[in-house]
Amino acid sequence: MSHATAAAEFIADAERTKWHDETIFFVRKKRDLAAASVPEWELLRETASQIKRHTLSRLDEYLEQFEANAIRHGIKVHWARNGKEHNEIVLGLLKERDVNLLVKSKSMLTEECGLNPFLEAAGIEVVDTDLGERIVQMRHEHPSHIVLPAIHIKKQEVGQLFHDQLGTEAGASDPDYLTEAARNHLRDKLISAGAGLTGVNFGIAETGGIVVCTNEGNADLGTALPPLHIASMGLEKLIPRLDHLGVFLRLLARSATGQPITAYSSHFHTPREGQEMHIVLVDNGRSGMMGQSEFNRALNCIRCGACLNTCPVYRRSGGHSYHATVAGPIGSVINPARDPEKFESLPFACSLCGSCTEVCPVKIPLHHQLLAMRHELGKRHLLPMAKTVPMKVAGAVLRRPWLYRTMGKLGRVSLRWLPRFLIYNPLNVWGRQRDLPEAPKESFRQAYKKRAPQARSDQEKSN
Amino acid sequence: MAAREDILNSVRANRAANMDLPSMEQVWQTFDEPLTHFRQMLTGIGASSELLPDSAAADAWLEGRSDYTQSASTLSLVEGVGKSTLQLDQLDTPHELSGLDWAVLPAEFGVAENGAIWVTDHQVCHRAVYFLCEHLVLVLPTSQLLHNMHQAYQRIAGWGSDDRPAFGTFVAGPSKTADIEQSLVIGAQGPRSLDVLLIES
Ligand code: SF4
Repeated sequence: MSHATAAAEFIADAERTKWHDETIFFVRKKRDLAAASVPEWELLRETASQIKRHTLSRLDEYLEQFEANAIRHGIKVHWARNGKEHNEIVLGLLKERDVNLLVKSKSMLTEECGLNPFLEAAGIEVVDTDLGERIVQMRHEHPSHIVLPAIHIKKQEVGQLFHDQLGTEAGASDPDYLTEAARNHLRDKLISAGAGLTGVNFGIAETGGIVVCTNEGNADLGTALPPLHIASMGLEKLIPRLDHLGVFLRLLARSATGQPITAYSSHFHTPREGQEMHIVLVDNGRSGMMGQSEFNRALNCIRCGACLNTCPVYRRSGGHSYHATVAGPIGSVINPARDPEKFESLPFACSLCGSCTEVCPVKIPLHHQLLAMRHELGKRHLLPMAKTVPMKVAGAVLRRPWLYRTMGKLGRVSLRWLPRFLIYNPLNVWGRQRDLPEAPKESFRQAYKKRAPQARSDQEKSN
Repeated sequence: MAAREDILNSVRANRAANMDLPSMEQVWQTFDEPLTHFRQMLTGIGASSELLPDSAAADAWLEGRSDYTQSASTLSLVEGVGKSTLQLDQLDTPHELSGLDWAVLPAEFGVAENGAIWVTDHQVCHRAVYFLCEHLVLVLPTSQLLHNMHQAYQRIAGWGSDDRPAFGTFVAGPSKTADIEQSLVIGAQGPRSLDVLLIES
């Protein structure tokens, strides 16, 4: 399904679209305030960008260093070429230890790999412990935002969901009350789990450790109790040194939600007494993308979500309209880079306003990449007809001035006189949600011709 | 191990263009009054702070809170501040900490720019205590205050090169969520409150 078709479903509910748009823009404004409170913000962004780009220039060395240090600290390291291998490694670890309840903290990577359905099919109960993720999991949906997974859902809907599944009072929709109910439910799960799985925000080559950031403390509870900790990590999460975290932790939460730092930034370097710790390093297309010089900076992403929050298209079309694990501007680069056929419409869900590039804490030139991706899709003949046909027509018209003049006249007249149904019909996507401008009576050429002698004589007088 | 070799080979073949590592020696943000800024940040992230002359005053502050004195289970790992109804190293599993009302724990240092406080499980045999207690109290000498995160990582440089590096986390406020319609709720899965007792030193 194309982005535009899917977005049409979302915007059918005008009130919700407005709420979604405004609420997310409010998060963007909090980000602006937080960024402005740091005088060296631009220096931080530049530094972060250079660290990430440097890491990609010798990622193989850093991966080996990371692995050696992790092993030295008693962590087992696994390598997975793709999502399937990742899922099999995780299932193997759980099966060997007879684990039947796994608690997970936020991990977009396991979403990407489709871990939950895979484990569930093998009879393992999987509980996402981030509140937003738990809500979408209970609704059998996917997160619609990488930082705010349940931003598309209203509190009344959460109230109904919790009433049905957790036994909260009918009609209750107070966020405090609902969060309390979720707290009790999730703490029960956290305490009885046989294993905890976390994502990874940063892996540190120099120490072999990982850092996980949450506000709820769910990653910490999920790993401080059960005897097994599995961390799923994309190759691109690596940074060279411990002190580089100073840069990234200053940028991440401020860019994401406007907080100065998340409530917990936890550094895991060794299993607890009596615990096992495993890290699964996942490629799944990342190493291939490194070689695409035009797009590889998208691998520098720290998943803050700022580009989603600022994007006028994302805010008004909702995360699900992207039909991908990662939505928004960054998703519109990485998804088609990996699977151009499936995601051909995403780079066009963009007005090229450039706001994403402005806010990105690691300075990924997002809108340039989106434009480059359109060229790429064009070269591969993956443009939809709605784009290729008008482009060809426009090309033919613009090459012939007489035709251009005739068509202009025709347009001016017909826009004024044609009945509405002919202009605002399903074939004309430009006629949706907007009125076309009132057509002027004369063309620019005609107006200029009339004006020009007058203007010329005025100029002569003033000389 | 075929996967490991395949991935490393592919990464090697696809190395991105060269780029040098930037210097971490830059002019980073500092504050004229770091303690004042730190306390403001704590308020902003949903925590409270008290400035107290010594541990005896910290103990008295706790004893003055009826919600503390009336609670059934408390734990303190800070000498002279608060009391313990259980012994951490006597527990068989960290799960037994579930239901703990208050934990009074030592902090290593604080960071003025964001209100973050560094704690580790170096002397705390069950790190779950930081996250499972209902109310967390961290005791921090004011001399242990840094300006920014760069200083924080300078301070713990070399950590991680040990054979068994401790677990460490920056705690910044009580646990929280805004996952339901962006309404901030304090007390998600972890502690419902964070009090920082700053001991003048
Ligand atoms: S691309 Fe940049 S702004 Fe977007 S999520 Fe990634 S780091 Fe954040």
